Amino acid sequence: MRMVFGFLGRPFVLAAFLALAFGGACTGVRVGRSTASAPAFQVVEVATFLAPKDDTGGSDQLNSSPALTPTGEIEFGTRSGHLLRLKTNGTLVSQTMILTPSRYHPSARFSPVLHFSDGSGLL
Amino acid sequence: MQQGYFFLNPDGTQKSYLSVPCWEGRGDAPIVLNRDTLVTFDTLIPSNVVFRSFDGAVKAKYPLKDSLSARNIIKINDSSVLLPLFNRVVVLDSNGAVLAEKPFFSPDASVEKNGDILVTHSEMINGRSTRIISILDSKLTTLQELQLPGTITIKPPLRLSDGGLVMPIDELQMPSTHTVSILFLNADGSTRAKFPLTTGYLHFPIQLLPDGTVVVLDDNDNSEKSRLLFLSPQGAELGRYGFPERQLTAPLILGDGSIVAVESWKAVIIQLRNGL
Repeated sequence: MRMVFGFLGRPFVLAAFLALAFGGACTGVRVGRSTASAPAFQVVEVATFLAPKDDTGGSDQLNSSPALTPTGEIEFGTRSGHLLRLKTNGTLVSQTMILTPSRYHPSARFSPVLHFSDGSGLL
Repeated sequence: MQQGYFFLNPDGTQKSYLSVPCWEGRGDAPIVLNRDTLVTFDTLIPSNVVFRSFDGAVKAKYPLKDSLSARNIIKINDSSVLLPLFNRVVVLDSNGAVLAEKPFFSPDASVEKNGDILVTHSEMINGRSTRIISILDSKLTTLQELQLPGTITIKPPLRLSDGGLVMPIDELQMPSTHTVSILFLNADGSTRAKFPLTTGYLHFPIQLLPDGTVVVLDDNDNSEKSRLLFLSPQGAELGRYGFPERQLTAPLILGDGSIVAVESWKAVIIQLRNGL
């Protein structure tokens, strides 16, 4: 009888050991994520800006890497040849035609504006 | 199609336009060395590095001669640029004169805030091609050398705030596959951590947030989607942001740690926040 219980008992002991081990590990991870040593971070979308309509009534495309002006605004070139400036909350500050229609080409791309300390720039 | 540079007023309106030959520029933005000098490549054979004043006049040319595979032009300060070429690294002044030159095989380079130059290059050691990071001063004198174990560096490293280094690497896997990862090194060159990416080629340089968090734009080549990864200096993932399609431009990091990314029809501004 002792041998039967001993034989049957081993899996239970093993299962109990595994449950403790894995349960402990899982609990450790959860606790670890909420401690100061491994804080829980999240990525938050704080603003979005939709490209304005172009001359054809369709949506324009933002086609340059964004650049930062000395006054803290964000700047893009668009496919229709405009230079857009936004506040960091996503609102449009200005929209300036840079590429005149004679210079416009569907594959034209802006490089980011290189700004000088006085606010003027080059692209 | 015209090629040239627009000079802008502070309000963003156009001040003037400088037309340049169609063989100049190679599609990359020029380096603005100072208030009077643009530095760019031409695509003639053999190719030249062209120093052009803002009125369009060519001030100087540095012929690349034996080296058509110049990777990029890197600004060191207002009066000098760094060129990683196929078989050497060269420092030029604003008149195109050589200030320093050092032979390296297949180098790439970056310049640290303190002016030190980080050059990644290859060397045959014990019959095996080995990638090495050389840390040089502005005269190209070697200050330190770190040997990378069995890896190929694909972009120059950045310095972490604790003196460590972080860089994208491309490791060959037998028989013919390869994996791209972000490698974190301690200041003594020992490996701190490695974070695997899904991309087969990293299109944009890694960047650092003001608090030292590493930002990586990881393209998944199969899904045509991109994800922005935030990694701690210890190499752990802190967060990620998925884009519905592949990102075509590098994200911009603002002074407060916000990140601006362009998604063709819209721009998004995102932040990594401590959730506690």
